Amino acid sequence: MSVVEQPRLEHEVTLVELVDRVLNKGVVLTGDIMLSVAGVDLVYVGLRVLLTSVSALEESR
Amino acid sequence: MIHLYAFAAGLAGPPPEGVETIGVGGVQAVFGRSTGNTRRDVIRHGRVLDALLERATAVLPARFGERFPTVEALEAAVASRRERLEAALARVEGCVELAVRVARDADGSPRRRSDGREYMRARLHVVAEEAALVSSLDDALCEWARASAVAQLPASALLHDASYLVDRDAVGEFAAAVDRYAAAYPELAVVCTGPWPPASFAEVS
Repeated sequence: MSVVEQPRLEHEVTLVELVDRVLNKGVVLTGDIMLSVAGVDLVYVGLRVLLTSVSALEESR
Repeated sequence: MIHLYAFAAGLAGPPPEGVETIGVGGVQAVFGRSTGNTRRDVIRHGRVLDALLERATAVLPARFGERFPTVEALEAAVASRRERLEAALARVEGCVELAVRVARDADGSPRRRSDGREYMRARLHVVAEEAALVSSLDDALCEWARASAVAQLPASALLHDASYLVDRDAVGEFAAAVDRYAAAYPELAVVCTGPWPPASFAEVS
């Protein structure tokens, strides 16, 4: 991995977690949540992938 | 159509752009009028929550997708749950959420044995050892946390996937405890992310 790519990977990993959290956690007031979100098929990348990316990032530092 | 972002208390300064608030007792409902359903909208929701975390003393994130036909409808929904929302805000006041995940090294599982019984014995030994390791981490982190929420994991996934509700002032100490653990067990991958808005502790029961 090049130095230039590092911040981008970190940014992507953070976004994956952010999207996962926004869709799966938080107060549900009415239970009437709109379930289908267009264009978020890459939400579940898998925690293993997430971890591997973060570990790779840390090792390369 | 109204899109709900969060409930907050002690919100200071102007709200993030495109975001409005309405107060009901000690509860500030934070909402917007943009109701798209794309990945971009989901990310925006997360960004607004991050901004609120910096501006408010307590934030209860709403899950993406909570919609109301009018501001009045939102206000009525908040009013009917006011006390529970106030109690939930008090529980997370001054706190952020930190996520900690632990995975075993890719080669951590016992090598294939010729004898099935021997394999199972070795496997059980590893599982017991890992459970003890995770339990010691969780105990150490709970000293710095107000509450914790541990995800129930399917077999063979992560060893530990938990969220901790941590006072802002204790974030440094918490992170140091994670670092000490990671250094003590180099065979494990330990990842801590955050600070996040405390969505795992946003329960209005």
